[in-house]
Amino acid sequence: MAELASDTIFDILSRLPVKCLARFSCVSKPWCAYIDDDYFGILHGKRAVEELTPVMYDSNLSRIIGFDIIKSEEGNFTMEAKKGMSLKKEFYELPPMQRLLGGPYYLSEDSRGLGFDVSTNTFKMVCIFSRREFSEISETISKDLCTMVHVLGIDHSWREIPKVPPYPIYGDGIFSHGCLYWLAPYREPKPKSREELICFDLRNEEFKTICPPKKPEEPAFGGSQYRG
Amino acid sequence: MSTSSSSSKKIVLKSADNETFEIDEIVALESQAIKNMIEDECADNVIPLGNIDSKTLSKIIEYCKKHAESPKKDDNADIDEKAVEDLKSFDAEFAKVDMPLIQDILMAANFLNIDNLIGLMCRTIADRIKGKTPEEIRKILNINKNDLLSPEQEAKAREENSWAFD
Repeated sequence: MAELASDTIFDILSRLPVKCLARFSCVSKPWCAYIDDDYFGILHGKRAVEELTPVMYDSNLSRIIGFDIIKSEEGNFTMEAKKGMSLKKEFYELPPMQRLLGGPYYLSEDSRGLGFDVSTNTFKMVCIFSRREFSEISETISKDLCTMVHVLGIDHSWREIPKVPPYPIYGDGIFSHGCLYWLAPYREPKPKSREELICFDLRNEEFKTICPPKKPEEPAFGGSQYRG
Repeated sequence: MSTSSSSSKKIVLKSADNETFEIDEIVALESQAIKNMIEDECADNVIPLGNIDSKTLSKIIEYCKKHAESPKKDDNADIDEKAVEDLKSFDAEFAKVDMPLIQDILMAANFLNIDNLIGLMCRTIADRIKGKTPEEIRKILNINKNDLLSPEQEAKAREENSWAFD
């Protein structure tokens, strides 16, 4: 009986859950190479619908990591790394942060995200808070936001970074290619603007805004510049 | 392609052990490779398949017949669900063969380029090896001994993925 071709093995492996793959990387040298292959990650990602969400795949890490944030109250999170191949711990407890954010403010956690920083080989958790004063209900602007970062397994606490998103963002960020992304609602002072993507680069800890492609606008002054 | 020509064209396939199988052209067209040969008019009356034995070939023809008879998904949006279920249970029964034959069918399906059958066989193998240990897989899939990891490499791979072995 001849051996199966490599693309056939790819096909078979891409139908298996992550836990099987982790076990099967020691079946043989070729299998180990297949499972660590970048292309395989992509192929598997397409099929792995039954995996946890969010599932992150990082080509530099060559690993698939799934996380569930299972508890989030009063600044205490417990994160479950059910299928984390790199994180050996089943659970990772994040340090409390109330202490750091104390003051005459009303704080609300708006959004969070977890991603992998390839430059340092670490996982980073990012939380973005709104800081509003009790007395006046003012419009939320950039300086009232606060960004906290925690490097998993390295930091003992949270640290506030100087960069904040241009306006409040909500929900869990999606990790991809070294950045966390949020689909932001339209900007409050400019109600007609389009939905934008807010991107947080985990390496240099900076926010960027990505605008969607412009829709063709109605010509206001009929293209006179095109006339000869 | 007309669906009901009573004098439908016949194709003859010849296995590695020189057994011949006469089938309707429409059945043979399930194989993209044979389809290409027919379209390019480079298929003689008899198509020799020197790397497929008669046992494997008769299984493949059984599969192609059934799938050629069944209504295709993209032909018609509202094919009745019974036909879909019927095909599903046929596939399930079809896959109930031993591992060496599955691998032979898979290799032949690759050669003949029969997409659905490749998928079915890969799925079947995946299901069968899912709960197995690396040692069992080496045996099931006949992994070449020269390809095995050194004891040190294997120990390292097991250590790195220890969470997956409980």
